[in-house]
Amino acid sequence: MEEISRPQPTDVSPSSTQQDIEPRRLPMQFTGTASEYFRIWIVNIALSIVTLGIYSAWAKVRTKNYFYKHTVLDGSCFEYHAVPRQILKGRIIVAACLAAVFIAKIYSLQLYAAGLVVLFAISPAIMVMALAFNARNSSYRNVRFAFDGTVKSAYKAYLIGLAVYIFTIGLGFPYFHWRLLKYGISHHRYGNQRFHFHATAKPFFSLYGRALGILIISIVTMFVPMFVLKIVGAEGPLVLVVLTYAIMFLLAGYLKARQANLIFGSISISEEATASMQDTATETPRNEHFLVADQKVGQVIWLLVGNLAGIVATLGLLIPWAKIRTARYRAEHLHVLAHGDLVATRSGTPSRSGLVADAATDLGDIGFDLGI
Amino acid sequence: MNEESLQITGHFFDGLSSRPHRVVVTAGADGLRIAFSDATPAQAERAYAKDQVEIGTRLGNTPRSLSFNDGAKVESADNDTIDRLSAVWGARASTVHRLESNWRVVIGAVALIALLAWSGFVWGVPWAATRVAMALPDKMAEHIGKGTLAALDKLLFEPSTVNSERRKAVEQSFTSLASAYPELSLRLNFRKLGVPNAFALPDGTVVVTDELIEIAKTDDEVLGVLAHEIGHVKHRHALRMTLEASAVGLFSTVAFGDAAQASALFAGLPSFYANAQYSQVKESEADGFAIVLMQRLGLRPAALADILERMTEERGDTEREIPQYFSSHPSTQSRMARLRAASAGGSAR
Repeated sequence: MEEISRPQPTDVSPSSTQQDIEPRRLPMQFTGTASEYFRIWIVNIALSIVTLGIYSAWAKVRTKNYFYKHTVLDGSCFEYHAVPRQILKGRIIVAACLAAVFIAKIYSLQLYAAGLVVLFAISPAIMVMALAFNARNSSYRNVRFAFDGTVKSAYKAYLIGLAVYIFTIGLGFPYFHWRLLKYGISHHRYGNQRFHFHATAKPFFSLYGRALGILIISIVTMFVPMFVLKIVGAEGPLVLVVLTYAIMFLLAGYLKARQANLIFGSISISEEATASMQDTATETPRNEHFLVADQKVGQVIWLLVGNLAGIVATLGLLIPWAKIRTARYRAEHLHVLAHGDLVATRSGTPSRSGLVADAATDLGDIGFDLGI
Repeated sequence: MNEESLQITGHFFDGLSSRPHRVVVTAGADGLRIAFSDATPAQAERAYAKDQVEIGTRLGNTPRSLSFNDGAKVESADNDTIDRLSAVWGARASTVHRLESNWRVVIGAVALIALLAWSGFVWGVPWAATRVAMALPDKMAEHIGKGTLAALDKLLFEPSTVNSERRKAVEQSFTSLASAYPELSLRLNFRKLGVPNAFALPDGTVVVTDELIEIAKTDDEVLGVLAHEIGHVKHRHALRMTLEASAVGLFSTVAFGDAAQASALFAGLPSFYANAQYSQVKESEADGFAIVLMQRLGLRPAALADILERMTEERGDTEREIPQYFSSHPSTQSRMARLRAASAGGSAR
């Protein structure tokens, strides 16, 4: 087992009040290894099978924690605190809902359609619950994250974005995506620090526009080798499959890398302005820390191709390896530019509790797992 | 502190702020003391009794927390010392971590999963789908059948143009076969498709295309195809296919969907492959049914083989290009061989 040296936290002196000094570049690091994660992964699956799925809730927490705890920023790791028993409860509820929709599909298409409409209609609420559940169960340096968006504001963001999307016959998708991101990110907190999303919709339009351009150009140029091969007489479905995959990887790599750079690069975090602080705001500028991502399209394509090749060639045995190298790439191309102290204090807001809220948030959590 | 004292270096977080404090934890049999290296006079040292400390479970080599009852904690990557402390305090070591650290268990898990996945695909899913399909009420099958025929009429089929005389003959032979199975409420429909083919829907509707009737040289050949299709209805193949496809789709989503996103591109393939396998089993089941039925009526199952052969030739090139393992039908060669053997030997097997 290779030993990974873990960076030590930079000791912040409690009295450092100097501002506007050189920003510190704090790299995100990932210290997990494929061989370690493989064993956790395979035991998770085996125990989930042996316990007829019950263990899967524990497996989920273990997996999530594995990736959280191996993600290191400034010498400290992230932590995930969800209680498996709650997740199990949520999974049972979701399984029952999905079973109901599936059975409805067999009995009557109208009933099935109604079920889908209901699922669609409640999806913003589920999204809010999932974000809140995930945030309040995540911590860094013993201070929890939080999500304070309301269901009402989620519907507003979702419906406005969706309206633009539909009325522009899909051309407004970048706006829709931007709107949801802005909503989701800017309602996150870390202790008393607020997340901000600085991007406007414009760079999203140019990103998706370029992706569309790449798609069109590559489809057009795809016909050239097809014609050549047809003349040679070597035309066959295999060539088409290979070229289709090539285009998909090109597009996926471009989108993933550029999206990560744009989205992460637009996030900052700073102490939340309170009434008492606003009086003194002119005196001491707030410390604002920025995320910076620098993923490269070519490297991401290579990452995706390698993952797929490895997984297919080993019938899935390399799935853990693929997940580890993806997490490592993401972390290694992400850092924080810290201006001044990076210290959050616990915010006074008590976390919501109650059985219904918990079951519902777990419902949202699993919903994202299954890609609803 | 006695001689059993253990030293753990790590970082202390008070839970009120995210400020890290480098600390050395000295733990004994009854509790622990925390010494701050960035000591401010107020908190140069803290002490907790054993029952005020919760030791986090081990997860690989990830850093672990010693959480205290006042909301503070110490985070440390010194897993081995924390394990020893856990043992000194009489806490149970994590069973899951022991399993994960044992390569023999890991290899056993791989073998178990491979075995279960394989037998699940080959036996489990078809078995469960059969049980469910047979248990589903007829009304449901009726519903699905009606919807499917309406959809196919819109998308693919055109009205039949077979002359009424020929049509009557085919209908007559169908009735002679169907009369033995009143519970299946079998009905025959004629449609034009452009390709010789026949279909069976879950509600007992059998569709033959004009082209199939044209390509048939004898009435027995059409009878053979109809018997084969009745076999599909009898065994509820359409329902079973739907159920199997759903099950495999769900499993592969759960298995691969969570994995690296790249594999999402690939998630459809196991379902495709599995469905092709399942459909081969169904074709030979329907063939077996047709053999028994034809023999009971004193017909030669070889007639079905003859028309099969002609249908394959008709479809021709497109099918030959697809490798065997991707084809949804069992090799037509082996099906024909079985049907002809049944005619010669007189056995269904």
